[in-house]
Amino acid sequence: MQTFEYWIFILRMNRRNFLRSITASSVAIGFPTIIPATVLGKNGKVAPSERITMGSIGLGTQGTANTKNFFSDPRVQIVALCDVNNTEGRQYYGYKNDTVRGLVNARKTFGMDIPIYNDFREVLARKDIDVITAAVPDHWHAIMGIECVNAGKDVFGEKPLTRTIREGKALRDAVLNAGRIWQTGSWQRSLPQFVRAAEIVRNGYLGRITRVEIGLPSNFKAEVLPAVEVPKGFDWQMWQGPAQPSFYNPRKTFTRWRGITNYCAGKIADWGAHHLDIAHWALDFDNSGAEEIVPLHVQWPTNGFSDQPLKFKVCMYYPRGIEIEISDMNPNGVKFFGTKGTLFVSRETIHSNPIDIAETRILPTESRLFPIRKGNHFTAFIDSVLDRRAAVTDIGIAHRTNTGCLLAEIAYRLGRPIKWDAKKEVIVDDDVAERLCDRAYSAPWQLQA
Amino acid sequence: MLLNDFAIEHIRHHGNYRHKTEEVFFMKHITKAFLSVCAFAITSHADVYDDFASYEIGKDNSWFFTLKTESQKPVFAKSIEARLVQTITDKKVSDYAFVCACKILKPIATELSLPILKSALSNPARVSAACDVLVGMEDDGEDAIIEFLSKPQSDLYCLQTAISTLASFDDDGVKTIAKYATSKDEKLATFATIALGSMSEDDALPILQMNLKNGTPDVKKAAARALVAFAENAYASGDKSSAREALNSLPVDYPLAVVLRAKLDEKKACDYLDSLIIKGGELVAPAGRAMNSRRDFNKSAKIIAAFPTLSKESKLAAMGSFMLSGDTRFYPIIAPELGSEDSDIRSLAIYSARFICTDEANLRKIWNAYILKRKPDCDFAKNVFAENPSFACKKILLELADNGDLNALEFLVMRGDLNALKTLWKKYEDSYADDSNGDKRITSIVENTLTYGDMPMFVKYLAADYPEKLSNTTAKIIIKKLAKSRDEKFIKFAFEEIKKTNKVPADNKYYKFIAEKLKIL
Repeated sequence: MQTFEYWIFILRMNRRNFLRSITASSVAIGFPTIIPATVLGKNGKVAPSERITMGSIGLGTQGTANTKNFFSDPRVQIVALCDVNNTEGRQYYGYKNDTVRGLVNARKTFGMDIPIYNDFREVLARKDIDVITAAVPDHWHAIMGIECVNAGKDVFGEKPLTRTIREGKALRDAVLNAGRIWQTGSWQRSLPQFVRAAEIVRNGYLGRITRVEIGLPSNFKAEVLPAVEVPKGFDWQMWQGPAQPSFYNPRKTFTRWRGITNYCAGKIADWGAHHLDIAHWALDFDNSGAEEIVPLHVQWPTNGFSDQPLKFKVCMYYPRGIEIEISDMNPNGVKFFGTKGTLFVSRETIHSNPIDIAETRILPTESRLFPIRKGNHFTAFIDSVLDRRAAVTDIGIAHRTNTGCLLAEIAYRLGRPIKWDAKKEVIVDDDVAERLCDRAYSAPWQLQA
Repeated sequence: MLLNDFAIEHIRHHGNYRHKTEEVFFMKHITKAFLSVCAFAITSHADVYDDFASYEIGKDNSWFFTLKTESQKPVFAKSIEARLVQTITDKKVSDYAFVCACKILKPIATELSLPILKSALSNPARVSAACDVLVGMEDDGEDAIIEFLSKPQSDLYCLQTAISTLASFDDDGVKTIAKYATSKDEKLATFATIALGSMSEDDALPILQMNLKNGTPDVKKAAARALVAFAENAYASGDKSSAREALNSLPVDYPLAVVLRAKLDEKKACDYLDSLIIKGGELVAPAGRAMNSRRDFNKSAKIIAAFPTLSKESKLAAMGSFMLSGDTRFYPIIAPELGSEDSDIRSLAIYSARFICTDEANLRKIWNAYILKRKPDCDFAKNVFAENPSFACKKILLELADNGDLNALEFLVMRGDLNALKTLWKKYEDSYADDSNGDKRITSIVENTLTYGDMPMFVKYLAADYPEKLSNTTAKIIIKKLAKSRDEKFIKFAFEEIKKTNKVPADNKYYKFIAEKLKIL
């Protein structure tokens, strides 16, 4: 619903008419009008008419953080805030900050004059919006992402890419066919230590890689929950969207939804999107995938609202005889085992044995990975929006990483190995496993594939 | 096979990952699996099904996890399915219990489950869960939904959920969905029209074309999107003629059709996309993105000629594709933009030099931008000199370094030039000669460029042969360097490795100092 503030805002910030109106009014009044240099884009500032306009959908913890990053980019103007949550209360139970999120918090953070919405389709309908940053739960990613690109917007989306493999294919095809820029929130590719690790591996400084160990955080143990009344101002129906309808309880929302398969594949996808992504990058598997996926250990909960495993270990067999083991029982990070040594990289550190490998000076003439010009993963997205180059965690890359994670999930849900044809993108000779690659959608949502 | 038989096979098959501990682990698992089979068989889980039958939200749900885990075992899957179906048929289970049961049934459902799934299709509280099982049941699932949709239905939610599920089969459902695509109910017609776009059967095309022509505004919009989706599916399956026919129904400037139009005529794709970039407007974005992998200097005459007068948006898109091509012949076209007043264009002109600039004159201009330290230009210029692989870049840096330029020396060290590293350390050493206090800039460069690989050599400055002040600074640099790794085990390991591989005596006082500061005594 468009508020009064929305119309005032549009009147004030219409890109085409802004300067014209200033000039016209100054002529009419007869005063010499002093237009600040920043408005005209001098002194390195970007004029409002030149800024990329952004709508932010999903203003929970991650969405707020993402929007803050874009808010501080002088090339970007946030012109719409959208969330299903417009409540005042602290509904965000279970997350350590326990802070108010949603539209109430967003307006205080980003400005009371930015129009707010509950329904993302109204944001997409605005022709004056160039790009979208979407930080919504995984079960929304595919359908919302396809709507965004079909509406002509470039997207900074969150990871893991989608809830199912079929959704991943559909979203990838939609983004590429619409000619849009997509950046996934797998921001480790924009951190220098991960770039270095990938370049070290690619240039053979570890020798032939035989094995990779990936460590992820564990899923949480959850309790049985009662249904409670949906608070006024919170659109629970919209929050659920295409997922199967369920009862409301605030402890099921705001990061805790990651424990529910209806919405998410759990830590294996949530963090696999980071670490498996780095493994793929280093090993040049961005257009490829595992051949066989074997669950080695799964411990399921016996009760509670979360149906994610409490402990897991999966081994994935890739081309060139490489094994990638993913487990929440390994140290958080990625460890490469090669014939010349080992290399461990995480958000905190990079080190190797022998010690000199971790900081090898990669020569300009060697194989280099150029993720970002300067800045961070968010500024890199805006760079790509401007020059139309595929982003560093482009849709195809994100889809392959996500597929790997989801295959691991399918394997441990079935409790047995599965085989994957990475070229055809199908599970081999396994109708039962294939069933878990797809899901049905609650109306009025559908996947256009 | 039991759950862990595959584990034994896995060990036999994948010989290169066979640890003793893993074998012990699997033996434990096999024993555990055997015991659980016995336990499950003995109790017959009457309690579990009673719990399921009486389950309500907020109650203990351990029955769900028991059945879910046990249903993984092929020997129990059929009996679990049968018992769940029986319980749902005989007793009034809650909607949420039904939804949970569907999660268990999804991988194991057979025709046994069809009756309860079919009857759930007209129940708004259960239709989504039922469809989630049916969507994986191939012909059985498809037939069940067609049967449902072939009868008059009144609930929009159930109808739409069933339609979207049927569309994902992409097989026999076109005629069924088509009748809803022409419904007088606009919401239903719009929904069904979009669903048809997901189907690659030719029968969908005339309905979409008709809806594009005669539908309400919402239906027309849906039909346009669906036609593009249909065309993409046809193209992907090798049917270019159906793809073209679908696209021909749409306006030439329809943004969602740009990429596919280029794909359908690859020989003319570059010309087509460049013409859109040159023209400007909303088609620049998809055209620029589509050009990423296609840019060829020999096919770029038009855009090269038009380049100086392109709009900002078009210019940036063109430059992005020039850069990605890796063809250094594009740089002279970009080079004039080094002096652009527009920050975005100027930044990209500098940054693209990292990839495709090989001429000295332009690289020197970029060096000046670096030296002036004007942001953001200097940051992009830094990228260029750190990583541009051309001979010209190296030549400029060597020349500058020979003339005493420390910035250039730093770049050379970063680029792996060992002579430059020797020169830098010599300067570092000399800066402490005659009891001098060192040079801040040189010390800073040493610190910034020092690697773990350098450390065994660098540590020599701790020896008594060197001035105290030099040794002191060296020790502090080493401490900072090791502490940065933030990994206690590694810090200890690295320090021992460093001490092993040089001639500084083990009892050197600075070793003790470093160990104290790093807390690794």
